[in-house]
Amino acid sequence: MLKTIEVEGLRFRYHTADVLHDISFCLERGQMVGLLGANGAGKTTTLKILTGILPPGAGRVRINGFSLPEQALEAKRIIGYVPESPGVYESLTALEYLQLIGRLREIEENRLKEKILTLLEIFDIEKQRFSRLATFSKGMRQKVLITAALLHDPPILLLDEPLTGLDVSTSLIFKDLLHALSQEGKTILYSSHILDVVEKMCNRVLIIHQGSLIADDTLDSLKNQNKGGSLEEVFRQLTQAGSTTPTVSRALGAMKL
Amino acid sequence: MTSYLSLRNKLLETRAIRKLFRALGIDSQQYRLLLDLFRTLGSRQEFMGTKLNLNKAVGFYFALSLLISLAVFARLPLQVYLLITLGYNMLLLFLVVVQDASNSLLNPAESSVLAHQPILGSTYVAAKLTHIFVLVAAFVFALNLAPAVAGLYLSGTRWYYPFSHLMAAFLAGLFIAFLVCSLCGWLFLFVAPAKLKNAAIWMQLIAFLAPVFLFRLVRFSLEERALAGVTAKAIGSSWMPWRWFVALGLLGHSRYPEFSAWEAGAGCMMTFVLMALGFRAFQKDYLINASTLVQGSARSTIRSSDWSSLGLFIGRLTGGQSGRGAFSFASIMLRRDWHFRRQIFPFILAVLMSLIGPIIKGAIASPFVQAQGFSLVYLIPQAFGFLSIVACSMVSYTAEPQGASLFIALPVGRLRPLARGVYLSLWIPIVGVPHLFLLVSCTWLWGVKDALLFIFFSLSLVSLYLSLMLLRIEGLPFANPFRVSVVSDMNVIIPIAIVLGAIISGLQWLLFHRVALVFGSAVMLSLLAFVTAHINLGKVESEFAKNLQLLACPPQTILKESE
Repeated sequence: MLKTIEVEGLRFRYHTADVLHDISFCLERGQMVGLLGANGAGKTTTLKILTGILPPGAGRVRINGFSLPEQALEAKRIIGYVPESPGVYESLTALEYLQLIGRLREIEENRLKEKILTLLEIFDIEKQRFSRLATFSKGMRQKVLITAALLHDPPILLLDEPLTGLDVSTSLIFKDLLHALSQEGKTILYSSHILDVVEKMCNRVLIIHQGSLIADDTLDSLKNQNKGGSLEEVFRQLTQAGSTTPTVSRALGAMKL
Repeated sequence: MTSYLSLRNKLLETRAIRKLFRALGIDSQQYRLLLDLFRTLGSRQEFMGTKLNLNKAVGFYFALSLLISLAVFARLPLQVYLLITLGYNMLLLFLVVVQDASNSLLNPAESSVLAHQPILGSTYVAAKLTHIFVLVAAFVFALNLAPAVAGLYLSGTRWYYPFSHLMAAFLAGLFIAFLVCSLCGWLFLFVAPAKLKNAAIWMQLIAFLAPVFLFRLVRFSLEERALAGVTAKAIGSSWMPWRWFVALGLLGHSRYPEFSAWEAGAGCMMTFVLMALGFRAFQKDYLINASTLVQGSARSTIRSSDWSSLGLFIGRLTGGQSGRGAFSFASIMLRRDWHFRRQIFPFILAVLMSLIGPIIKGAIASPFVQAQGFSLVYLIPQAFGFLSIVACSMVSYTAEPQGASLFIALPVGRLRPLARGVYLSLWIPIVGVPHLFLLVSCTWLWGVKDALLFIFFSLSLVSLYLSLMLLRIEGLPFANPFRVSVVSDMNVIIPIAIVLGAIISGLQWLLFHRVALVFGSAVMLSLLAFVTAHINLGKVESEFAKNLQLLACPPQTILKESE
């Protein structure tokens, strides 16, 4: 199989804190892989490095054979990225924003217009396309960001909590769309801390814990190795999270102080 | 505008430009798109950098240049006239461009939106620099049109003087723009991304000191006139950039006395090398660096000191925990909000300079010793009054308005404690703490009695200023995106405040002839400050309520399709 994402010995530091230690994994064409981890585990940093936004501290990162950060431009051309925080130009309208992204990616004008209108219609925000993004809700902005990531039909999709704020019907559409895209041969790295969603959508899982990759396997294999029933239990065993009962009791106590 | 755009597009399609762009690694299509984007964002006021609406700013600078043109009536030698007008032009542009360039290049918030798009750093920087240069060109024209035409009135000028003046001014403007942008590049080379935003503030502070050099320049120029012909020594050698442009403006007229083309050429070369090195920092990986610095701050972990007894006292004073909360939130943000700091720091620096200089020289006489004439001390309350204007005008705005969501969910029934908390967070650093320091130094200089009475008076007056300025607070603290009109308003308010401050200082001088009068007026002022604060806090409260409504339900803005 063709390797689309190759990461070897990746390290990264923010200021004085070590964020990623020696991470290595490989994704192939047509794979949909879940990237799991607690808050602050290093998922978003990993995605930002793969997208070319952050330079890797050490190690080797290749996207479809393009080495990062040297060939970041080439890599960015074939990546669709949905960031965790919906940063947009608030004074642009949804249409203007998407036109800007499409034109920066050199999509031909007529095709671009058709793509934008169709995707906005699918995500049910077609009527708001002339409204400034400042007036959009979190979910509506997320829909715009997803549309922006899909516009150029990228072979690699890097998704950081893409379902945040989405309504139920759009979530269902988006999940089915991801399945279809994966079957079409696109590589999808899906970062989330919501285990149920990853369990339903991905057949392979990467788990990052405190900056280290502690698991990289198929769901079935992970379940077999850890004698666990659900991904939640596997995650708990691997991250040595233990039982939540004492923590819950402490939280209840703190609330009643 | 359409003709400008079509001209620009035609220019970009010429073979020479395409060749140049290819050599520099600039994608002309993306460059054009980014230019359009920056123009749209500027017109919709998303950039903080451009500050004023461009048309208003151009009008303001043109009015200012009319005043400068009056220098022709002093019948100055041509080179002195050029030196004053171009020197003024360069210093003013330096102040404007430093602000703009540091916003655009050292805090490009938009990089987080564009960093994952396939845009080369060189294309992005080229578009950014073009945006800055267009602003510079507009300002140069506004600042120099009147002086260039007025220069014809001077003896020895030829009919084409306005053109040579404008050419020199444009080149000087370009030089300033290149210089400042390359300075930003140097910061990129030598300062860690996490500290870049703070470095930008310091760069702006240094720029703020530039007017001091302007005074020196004018003084030297006047000396130059008095010395009739002995020019070179007084205004520096030919290595100095302003002399290059004066020499250019004099083309076809009299020769610039003692101007050495060799020295000027060497100076040009050195500056060019320094600029080129600065610009190298913006190549290729600029967007990556920029997105790192947007997330950066000088210190990522901060342990706040636990002033629990003070907090308890503030809580009681403001009427509850919400007041204490607002006080600590606003106090922290006054120190940490990047946007607020960069607005207030130059004013703090100006106040400190106006106080420390005379103190060091021992020039501060007691205001009660009338024999010594007008004392600089009379200006102290006014200086802190200026600070209160700036602080109250800026306190509602931030570069990170998304944090305002914290206010929406609060079950705050009464907003008065919140308003009091914010008032106290301003009163302590602007009025309380400085007057404590002043009390110590004034006691040392003048003795206890004079110091106590003066501090009582000053404290009351500055408290009154702050109470009045509460009306400038336009919403919850650090909860709103920066509005361009705030700075335009300040451009009107500050000159008025300077005039009023001068009048009040004069009145103080009259008042300080009698100790009893000073004491009586201090009591009156403190009562007035209390009542004014009480009334205006009600208005602050209603501003907070309005802001809360706005945050909870932002106005819908629908724009028509542009094409």
